[in-house]
Amino acid sequence: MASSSFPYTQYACPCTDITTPSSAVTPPSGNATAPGSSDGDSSIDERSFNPHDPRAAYALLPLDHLLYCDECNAIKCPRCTSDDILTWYCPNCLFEVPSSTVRSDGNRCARNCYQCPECTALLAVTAVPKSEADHGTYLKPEGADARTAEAFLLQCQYCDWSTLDIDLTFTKPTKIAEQLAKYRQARQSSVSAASPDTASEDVKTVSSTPISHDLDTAFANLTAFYKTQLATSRDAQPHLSGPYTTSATASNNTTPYTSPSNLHRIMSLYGNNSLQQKPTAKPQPMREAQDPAEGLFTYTPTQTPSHPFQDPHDLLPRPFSLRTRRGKRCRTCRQILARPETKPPSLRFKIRSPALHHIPRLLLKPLNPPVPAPLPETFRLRVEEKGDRAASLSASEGYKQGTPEMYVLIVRNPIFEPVKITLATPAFAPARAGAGGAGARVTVLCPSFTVGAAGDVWDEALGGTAEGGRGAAMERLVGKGGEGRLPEAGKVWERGRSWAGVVVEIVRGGERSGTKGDGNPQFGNGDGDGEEDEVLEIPVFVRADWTGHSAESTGDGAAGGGDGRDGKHARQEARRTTPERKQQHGGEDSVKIPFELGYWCVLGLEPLRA
Amino acid sequence: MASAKPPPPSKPPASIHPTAVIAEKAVLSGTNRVTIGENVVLHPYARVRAENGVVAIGDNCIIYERATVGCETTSATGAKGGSDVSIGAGCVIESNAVVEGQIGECSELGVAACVGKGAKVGRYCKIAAMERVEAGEELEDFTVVFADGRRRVSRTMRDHESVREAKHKGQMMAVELMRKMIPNSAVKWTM
Repeated sequence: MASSSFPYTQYACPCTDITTPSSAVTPPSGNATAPGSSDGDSSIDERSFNPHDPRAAYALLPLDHLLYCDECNAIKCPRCTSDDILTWYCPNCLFEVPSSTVRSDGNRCARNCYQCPECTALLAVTAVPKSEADHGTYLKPEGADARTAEAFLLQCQYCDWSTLDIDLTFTKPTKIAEQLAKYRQARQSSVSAASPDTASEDVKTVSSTPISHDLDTAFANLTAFYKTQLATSRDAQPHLSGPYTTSATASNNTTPYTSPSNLHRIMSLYGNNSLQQKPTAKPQPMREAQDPAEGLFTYTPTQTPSHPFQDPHDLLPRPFSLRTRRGKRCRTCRQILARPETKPPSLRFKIRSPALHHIPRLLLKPLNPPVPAPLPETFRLRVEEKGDRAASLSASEGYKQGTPEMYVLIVRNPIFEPVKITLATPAFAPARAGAGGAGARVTVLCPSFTVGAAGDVWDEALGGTAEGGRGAAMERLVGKGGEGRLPEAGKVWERGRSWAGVVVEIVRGGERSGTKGDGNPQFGNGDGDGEEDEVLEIPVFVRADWTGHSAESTGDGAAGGGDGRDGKHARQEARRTTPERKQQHGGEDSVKIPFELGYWCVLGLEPLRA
Repeated sequence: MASAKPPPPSKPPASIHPTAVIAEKAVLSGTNRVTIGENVVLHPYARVRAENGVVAIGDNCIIYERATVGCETTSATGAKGGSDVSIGAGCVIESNAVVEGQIGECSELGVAACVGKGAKVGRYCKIAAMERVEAGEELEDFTVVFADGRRRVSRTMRDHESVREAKHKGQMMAVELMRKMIPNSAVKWTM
């Protein structure tokens, strides 16, 4: 997936509580670069996300797998959304099937869509001459000349299976389902006539018949058994859950007062509310089938349970199973996050709210990008000096344990407001436990900065603003901008209209001398072999603050968003700041509301090829 | 591109039926005898390799683009005739298929299917696209190879004369059409 190319970024959904773990998971690392934690809940910022937690694999997702709920102001991963089935449709004929039909007829296409039972390819309706003596007509597709042909069959174009294999032809090319049902009934009746009533027989007769017939019998027996079980358990139910008006009749029964069920009922009558549980809807435990007469079916080693259809006549054309088209809803507030158009051929969405459009996006790239294969002279924009080339080569390849690697972390803002970004990383990114890696020390040189609002693409390309825009783009292209400039703490390295890049310094393997005893057993004593194979994963906490207009950014959220809703999500990391919001609440549309969003990301770096 | 063209490959001794259609870009190579039956259609870029054994193509066969008929290497045993290739009458060899064995009449080889060296495929078989028949393997008549190596006998084809009849007729119609569409340059190989 996304981790196939380096460096990659994955985003943690706040629904899993590994972002708020117990202290046993990770020791709280010194968080020097988190000045944004001033609003009373610094505890969140002090707990750092451990990308090597066994459960992290379930929390981390690439950005395009995530949705965003603008009602809860939170990232939503596939597990915190619920699916609504919008329509059922046949994948073959794209015919939309009403849900009532699905409920009554099952989720199979009722039209002439059939799959080959051998290979699941589509079966085509083919016309054949009825009598074999008549060679005047050929196999030809349906409708070519349906009047001359008198019989039809379903034929697989891929594996040559056809209904002739089961000696079945159809009299008309339409209403195949009815004709198939007739055929099936006829076969079942012939089978039951051939082997009359094995239901009450013993094991011997069961194993003497072919397996498929066994299965039918066993299924019928089991159904009957379960029905009697259900009936008896329903009879037994009133003693448990009936109202106490029936207690007089219950006392006439054989059930003694000391039986646990009655005791429980009496306790619940006289006990207080805390003892009183909801009326016992607990079903009686039911016995399972115990012998073949009750439907127990066991396989002996001579039988092959993998393919119960030993008789090729058991293979019938299978109608296509229907597919569903689903919308996504937020599980907490029922807000629709994605809703495709209901028409099966259409692939568009009516509503879609991907996280891509709502949360700042992180991208890590080397400060001095590796030089690709040298271009031919004619395509070069400028003549490269030898020293220049050597410098960039050493930057890409020559990283070793313990030497600082420089990367630019680009934060791109998709929101139409300027956003204040605060980045925080644990000072030491731990290695995977037991993998032999040594971790890395990570320093974000400029942890707090602002990123401009997203806008029109053309604005960005043509706007000649101070730092971004054409001039900067040209400089980057020609390569003059970054040359000779040194990364400086507290300064944004490069900046565009809706993005900004800051320099991140990564020292893998930490300090060999081990001056900083972090309590990490791998720290400082990692062996050379293991370290090379280790992907370095750096957790980064991103906090974004911006002021949005109540009307456009939250929709009706400002009007309908009560305290209850905010209280519900107070535990979530991504949330609104309630007090500030309350102050502003009740104003006009132009009222600005501060928003705050926090989430963990993991940046993955490729292992060193030392 | 700048390098000199390799010398043209040697023309094999060929006996080509006058009704056969061989496209101009089809290639016959090797030194062994190539026999091509009546109404055979060789599409452009089809290759017949007679380097290591004789190649015989039966009547009414259609061999599509980039299909290869014939062994490019000698047989592993080195036995004489181990690299001979024959295709029965009425076969269809789809594009990119490779035939290095014997194929019975009216069989069908799907796109990029492969019949290994010394394999014997029976009559009315069907090798679905991308399937392989390994070297030395023998398939009985009416076998279908499909779905990543599954094999079964097609009862439709085996038990019904009319279906086989229809297949013949369809093949003849396809051959007729191809004869009209492909310009014949069989002269190139007979002269």
